[in-house]
Amino acid sequence: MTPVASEQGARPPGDQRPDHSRRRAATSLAAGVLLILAAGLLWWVSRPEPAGQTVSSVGASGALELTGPTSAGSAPPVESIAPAAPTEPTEPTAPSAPLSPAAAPAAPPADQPAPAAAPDPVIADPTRLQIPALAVDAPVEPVGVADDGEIEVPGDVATVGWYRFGPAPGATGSAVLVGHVDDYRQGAGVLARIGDLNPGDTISVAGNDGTLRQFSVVAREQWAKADTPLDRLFDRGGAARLVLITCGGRFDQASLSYDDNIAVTAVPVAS
Amino acid sequence: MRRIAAATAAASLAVAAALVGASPAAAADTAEVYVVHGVPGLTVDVYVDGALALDNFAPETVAGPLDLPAGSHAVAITAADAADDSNPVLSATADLAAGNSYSLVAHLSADGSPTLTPYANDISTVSAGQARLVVRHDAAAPAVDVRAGGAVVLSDVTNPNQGGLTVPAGTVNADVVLAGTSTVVIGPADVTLAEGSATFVHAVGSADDGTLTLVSFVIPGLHSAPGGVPAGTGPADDPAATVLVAALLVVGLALVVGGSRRFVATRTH
Repeated sequence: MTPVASEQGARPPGDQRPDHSRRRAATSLAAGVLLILAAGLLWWVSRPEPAGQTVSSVGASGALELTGPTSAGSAPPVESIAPAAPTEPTEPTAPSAPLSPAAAPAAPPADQPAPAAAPDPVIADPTRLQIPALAVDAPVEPVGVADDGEIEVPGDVATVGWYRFGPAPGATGSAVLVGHVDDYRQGAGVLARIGDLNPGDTISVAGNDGTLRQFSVVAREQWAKADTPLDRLFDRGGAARLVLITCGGRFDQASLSYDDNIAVTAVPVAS
Repeated sequence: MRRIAAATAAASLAVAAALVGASPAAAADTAEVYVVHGVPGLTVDVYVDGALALDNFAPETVAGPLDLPAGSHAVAITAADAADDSNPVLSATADLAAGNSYSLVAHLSADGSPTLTPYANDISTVSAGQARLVVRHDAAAPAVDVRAGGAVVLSDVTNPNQGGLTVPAGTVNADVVLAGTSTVVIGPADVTLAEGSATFVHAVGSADDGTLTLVSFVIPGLHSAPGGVPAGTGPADDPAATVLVAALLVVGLALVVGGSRRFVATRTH
């Protein structure tokens, strides 16, 4: 008890009010413990919730049908190459043989007959995303692929990324827009609530030149990340469609990541 | 005569394509063939199995892809004014496997004599964000290195060999130098490599004649999807609550420590 002894030495001998002093000490102790408990309670109560949603899927089969014919494995289409010959075009007789060598490089892929109306705009350089149902109005910037092979997602949770290697919104195939559901420094992201979207909701994409294209939601889907159909979501063929992707499901504190992906698919509205 | 031959050739190949089914691109039973003309100063005709496939095929150009049934094909290259393939300048047998892609390159050998070399085109998919570059030495020239951005990416490539690599998509400044030296023989030139594509570059011509040049074509559609969408790192703390919690903790701990010390002191009486 050496420390006590030294403290005792510092104390005036024969303190007449040990009880009072003891009571004050006890009060201080109790107050301190209470404050610590209050701190713990406050921490618990104010603990932020992960923004990731868990939603039911709707329209998944419809989204699947928008996919192009074999996006994997089969031989690719061929970019135009100036054919040196033959100079004689073949008779335009055989629609069942689109790959006659003479015509191959020039023949566009057989598409559904396009209506005679003016072509709907393709937003080649998307700069803005608007989702009225969620009060979202966010800037869009092009993104590519990170070093780990996953898509780049804008660091700013208020900004949406457009996958620049894939189709542009309105063009053939799946135009992908991504955004963080949340970020541990910035909080909830601009796409955090896309799980609330329902078929028929409107999504608008604007281009740098002011062109605007409206899309109508047809599907909302959620998968464990390992099951996310990336080949379908990043399909470069098939019907023109817009796909918004973010994270959802359970948040894993250890890896600071979510277990699931949520995607919303929308198709162009005829203008 | 030529008119009829061309029509016949095209028609027969079209029928072949029709027979194997109407699905686009290389169907299950066909192979695609690009034909590269790398012999300077000689316009030619190309016959496949005796039928005219390419008429008046100009030097330093690429034709195709021809969609040919899998199997063995007799390829003959004749002078442009030949009536048929009975007197070819060059000929070869092309063995084509279904679903594969090939290049048939007419070019000069290292010693300058015309020859015909078949290559298999690597059309496997590339990772998201990447592009493939394949360089073929089809010129009457010694061994070369290919440099991109000043660094050697393919070394000691000799006629008629090829080298390939996969690089991030974008534009690279490339040139061709004599192997092991800095002596530029072709380029430099900015080469744009599109994401998800393979670019096949053929160095053709003759170093002695000063006709070295590049003939290239691109096969797109080799892209892959990114490996995932990592779009969330968790919720952010409310800064005000954090400050308040910290303040409560500090004050509480101070009271506890102070109280304890006093309590211990009083107990000694």
